[in-house]
Amino acid sequence: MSVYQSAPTPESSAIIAKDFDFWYGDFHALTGLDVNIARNKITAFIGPSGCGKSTFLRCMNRMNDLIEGTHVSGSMSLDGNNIYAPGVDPVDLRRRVGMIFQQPNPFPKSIYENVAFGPRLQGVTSKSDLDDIVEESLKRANLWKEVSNQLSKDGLALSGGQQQRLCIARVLAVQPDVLLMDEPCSAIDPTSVQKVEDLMAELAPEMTIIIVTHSMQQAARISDYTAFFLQEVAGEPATLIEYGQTDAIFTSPMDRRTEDYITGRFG
Amino acid sequence: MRKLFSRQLVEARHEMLSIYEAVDLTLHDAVTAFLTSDKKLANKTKKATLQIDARCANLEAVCYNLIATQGPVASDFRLLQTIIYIDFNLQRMTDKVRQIARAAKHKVKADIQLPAELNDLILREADCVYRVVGSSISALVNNDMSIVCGLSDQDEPVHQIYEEFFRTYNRMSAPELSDDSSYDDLRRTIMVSRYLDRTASISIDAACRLTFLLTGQRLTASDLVDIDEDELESMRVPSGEGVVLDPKTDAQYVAKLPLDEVGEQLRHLIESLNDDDEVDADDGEVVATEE
Repeated sequence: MSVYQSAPTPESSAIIAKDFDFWYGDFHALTGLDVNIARNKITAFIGPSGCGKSTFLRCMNRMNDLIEGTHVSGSMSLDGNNIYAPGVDPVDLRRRVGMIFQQPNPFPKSIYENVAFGPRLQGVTSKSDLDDIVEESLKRANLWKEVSNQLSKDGLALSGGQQQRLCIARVLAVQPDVLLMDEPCSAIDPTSVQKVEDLMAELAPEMTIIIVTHSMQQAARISDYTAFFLQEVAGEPATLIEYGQTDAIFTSPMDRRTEDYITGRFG
Repeated sequence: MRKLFSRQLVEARHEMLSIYEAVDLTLHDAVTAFLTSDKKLANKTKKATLQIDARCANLEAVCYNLIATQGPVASDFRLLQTIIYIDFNLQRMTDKVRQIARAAKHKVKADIQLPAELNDLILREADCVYRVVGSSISALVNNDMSIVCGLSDQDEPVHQIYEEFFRTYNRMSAPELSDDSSYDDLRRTIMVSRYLDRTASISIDAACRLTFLLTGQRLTASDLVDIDEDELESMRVPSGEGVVLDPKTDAQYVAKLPLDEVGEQLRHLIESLNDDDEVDADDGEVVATEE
């Protein structure tokens, strides 16, 4: 039974999971998830390693479909439409629900080509249109000032923090509604972490952001809502323990397991 | 690191309780110095308040240092916020105690003979304040929100005596306040009643923060009047070891409090500590005899 503390209402939510379960083949990984993800807010998923945070995150843009044998039950909707309904194009879904990974993964191409890649796939061919999109995306990713005079430079030649922001610019170029971030700051230095967090705060008013993080301070700092996941028994499915406004979760969690985890008493 | 942090939290909590005890005992000394015109005790009390100030400042620094270095959340953070808030209020109470000690010194210096009726009222008011402070400490040691709920009622007699004190003072006949000089001197000493009244109010403010520690809700004494004890208990959220200690351990830090001024539970705890001490002392004698 999950505990909810002022969790988002369905009306204010971009993504709604209802009685959602997930399996890797025979392994039941997640069970009974009822989660409303607030629109244009930042939601943090926290919990010990192996508790299903990233799995649930990847369910939101059907990245797990790429793994053989996975299946789901229950429902998951984006803006009221079931994303697991027959006929839904996962590629189109992933354009609307972009993803940033733990390790920055720019393409081995120029900075310009990294950002222009998505729009080109969508059919944008005009050079001036692409130039505008690249500039706008790099500006939104707070990278433009650092790379504007070296757009032809290899994306892989940038620093780790810059590479991560380049990946964010690449996602922003296709104008997603939702941004999924799977531990985006775990492989970059503190200065870059601050830049990525500032960027998230700037993007949030117009984009739904969900971040998986192992940093309690980061979750407390940047998110509006926090969800705590836990796999209590090895081999059993993980589930949502507590979900609600970040202030409440980090000041006065209602579930003992949340209290113990966020204060570092286990996990 | 978690073990070290837990130990630091527990130490901060114990220091807060220990300072609370020191404030209470110093308040007794200040009032005694005032009522008995004991200048030596008044000086000693004033020095004691300065030492309490230093302890409060140190505890505040420790708490902010823990916040800066440990990034506390949940009950750890609530505990530190609570300690800082209570610590601040202990400094305010200490200031009132120091004012009473100053008034005692002035009373001796100006050779003021306080009318017996006013002396008696101060004594009665102080007795009520000791009970409010004792109950506040009992609530903190036992994490007992029901005691906090009853503090406003305990404060009522303090305020009534304070008002009675001023009514009595205002009705005094002219011969008792023979000249301007003695009138002014007397006026300076009668503020003691006001200081006592404020000390009780501040102690209640401090103790009310227990509800935040245990529930996460910021409730004042006036909020608590409208809340049922069971309702308050149902609002409790999980807490870590810094919040939920063995009350017997906490009691060690307030064991010098007069037993008739603390809550029943705390009295039993302190008595059991004293019993343990006696057993230890007896054991010591046996060993000595055998040797």
